Amino acid sequence: MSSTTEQPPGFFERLSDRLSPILVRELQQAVAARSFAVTLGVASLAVMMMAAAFTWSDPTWRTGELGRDAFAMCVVCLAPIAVVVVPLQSLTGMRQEVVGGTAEQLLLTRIRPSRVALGKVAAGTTQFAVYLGVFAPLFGLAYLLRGVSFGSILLILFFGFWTNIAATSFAVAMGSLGKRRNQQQAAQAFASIVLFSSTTMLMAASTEMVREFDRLIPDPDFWPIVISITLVFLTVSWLFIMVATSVLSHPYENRSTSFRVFAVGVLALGGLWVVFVMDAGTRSEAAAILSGILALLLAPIWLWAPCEEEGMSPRVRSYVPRRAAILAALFLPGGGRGYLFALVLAALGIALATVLPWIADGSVDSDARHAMAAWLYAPFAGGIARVLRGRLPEGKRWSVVAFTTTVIVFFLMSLIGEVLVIFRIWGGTGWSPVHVFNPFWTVVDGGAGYHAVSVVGVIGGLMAVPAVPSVYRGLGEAVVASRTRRSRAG
Amino acid sequence: MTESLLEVRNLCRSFGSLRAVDDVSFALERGRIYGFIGPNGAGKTTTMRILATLDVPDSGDAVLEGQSVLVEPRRVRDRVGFMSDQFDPYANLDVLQYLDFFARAYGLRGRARVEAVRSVASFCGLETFATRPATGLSKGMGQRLHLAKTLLHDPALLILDEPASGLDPRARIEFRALLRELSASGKTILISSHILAELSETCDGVLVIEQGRLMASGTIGDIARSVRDRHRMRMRVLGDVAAAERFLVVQPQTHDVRVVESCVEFEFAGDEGAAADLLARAVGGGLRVVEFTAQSANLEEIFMTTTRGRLA
Repeated sequence: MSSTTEQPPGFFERLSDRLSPILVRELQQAVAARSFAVTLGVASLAVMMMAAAFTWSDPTWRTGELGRDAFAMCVVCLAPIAVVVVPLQSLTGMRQEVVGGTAEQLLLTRIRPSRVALGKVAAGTTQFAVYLGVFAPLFGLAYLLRGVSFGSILLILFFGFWTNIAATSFAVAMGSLGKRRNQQQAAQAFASIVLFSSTTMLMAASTEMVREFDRLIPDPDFWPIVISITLVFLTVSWLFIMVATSVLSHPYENRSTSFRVFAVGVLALGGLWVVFVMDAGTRSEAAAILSGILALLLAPIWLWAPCEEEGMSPRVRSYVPRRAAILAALFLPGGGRGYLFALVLAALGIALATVLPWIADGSVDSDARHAMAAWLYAPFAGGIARVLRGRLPEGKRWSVVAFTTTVIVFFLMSLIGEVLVIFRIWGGTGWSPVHVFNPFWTVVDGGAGYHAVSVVGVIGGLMAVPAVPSVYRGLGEAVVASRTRRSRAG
Repeated sequence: MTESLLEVRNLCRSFGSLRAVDDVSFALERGRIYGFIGPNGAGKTTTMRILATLDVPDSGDAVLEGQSVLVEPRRVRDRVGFMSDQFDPYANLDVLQYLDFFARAYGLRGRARVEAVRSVASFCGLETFATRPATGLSKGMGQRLHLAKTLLHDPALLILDEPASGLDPRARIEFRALLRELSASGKTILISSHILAELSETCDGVLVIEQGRLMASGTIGDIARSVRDRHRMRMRVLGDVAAAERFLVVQPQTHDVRVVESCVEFEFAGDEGAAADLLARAVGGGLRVVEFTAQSANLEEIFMTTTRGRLA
């Protein structure tokens, strides 16, 4: 192959070397795309017209209403850009890559699927920043017309970015879903509905939102609220990027670890939030409520983990850490290890509701019983899922069968329990063992005493017994893989 | 003996009850071009995808320069270039930007990236199309761009899945020339195609697969010898062709003797020694032989003999 000597790469070329290739390419594509120029032109025109309208309108600015209206108008204009225009572009781009096979071609390069997803989100956010630049004069005008503080403008920009990041992450995840055309179309339709309805809500609430932000700034709860909302955005974005990463990864690569780390990470973030954000008076209650909510929100992860195939693929085996194999095993794919992970996660969840507030304040809220009740379904439902999966043949689709069957079993048994109570065949008012398959009953009744919690706990403990051999095998496999790697390295 | 670049050992891959690849083993040597032929659904693409680390075998393994596709897929990817039969370039990118993106994706930076892009663009004859939109290229130029992208990280093994399909004759000839150059530079190429005449002119070796099983492998001549016990031979004489025909008809091991223009063609069941004896007898018998050759094996003939048109 011939080579030609040319000038060395310039400053921007060298700078772009440090950026994600996906980000660079997405920006090149965006700049060259007609839609970008059109949207930018329309936005600029809208900004000029609005600025002119507000400048020459009735001088009610002394009341501050005009400035606030101008600011609300900015939010109305930016909401569809942040939540619809940019995310849908990312979704379309992602979908084209999946359909056209380019996503698979990228698997052969050094770009990891996580970098593909992150690069797309980063490109979306950069585009949003460009649009924000267009709106900057209107922000300035709103500030000069009074009625809106500089802090409010900064706050809305901050949350605007987070909204855009979360919406783009969601769109990228939806764009990566589906192997068949109809599945992809369904995912796109769902994403469009969610994004359009979200932007409509944001636009409708813009005036009220601006007023609330103004009120929030002097509020003593300002930082806790800002941090809490930011953590929610961060967690949601992280989850969607992980979903996209998992879908883009090769089916035989490790798709479990990131979700397991995510679940533990969310609990850790929750713990930090309780300790550093909540004040002493509300800490134990907040810890208990958060722990209970997380038990339900993380249920797909702790229920899926025991449903995985028991063994590791050769690819996963070749990346088992050489040290701390037992600790690493918790996060490695495999149903036996997955059940152990569900147990550990439940223990951490219960610790978040009980041990953490006790250490911090020396007290445990009575709501902690609700949280315990919720977490005890991890060994219970996870045990059923593990037993089911152990009886099914190899193959990923049988993992889906085990997962779905467990959910259906719980649903049907809950229904039977309700029928028994309604027709007064068994049970009466309050919780009775017929409600053991109904987590909502148990969690609600958890506040009345430890009766429900104990029964579910005992059943969860019993369900753990048949899972012990697969847990043992799972740990053994991880240890052997770790030793093999160590001996090879040695 | 040439060093083996890739060793495929007992590869098996099933999709449900369908056995797409069934105990396939072969080896590829450095700097050679191998044709991978078989009917539709024979298991070619599945085998190629396994070698490119995009699929995983149920059993067996493939080892490229000592690295298993199962255990070290990332290292294998650094040494393999896979050109799939699907090519869908990004919209709103020109040819150089498209190559530049993949160069970045392969981890090339700074001057190395710029050089790699220019080098492959020049090698594939894309320089004059550098600023054209990647989506606006002709099929032939698109395939060149696809190949250029595959070459960016300088792979040792190129796996090309139906690269010539849809190309016009000129584009095919040019593409063939590119492959020869790549082979001459030391790259091993595994190429699947339905255009057998194309492969027979390009390939040093052939792998024939059907129903997921490897039916034959080796050079075209080797396979031809292994699949048939008779050779088609041709004798040209000065003077009376009919005399040559009469001579050959009565010889042992000759069959199906025909006069074709000024030559006599016939099936010969003997080995090279027997052929030499036959020639000596012909000359001794007064025939003025000016040409006595075994007709070169035809890939289409090999394909039809080794396969039966069954699907996996």
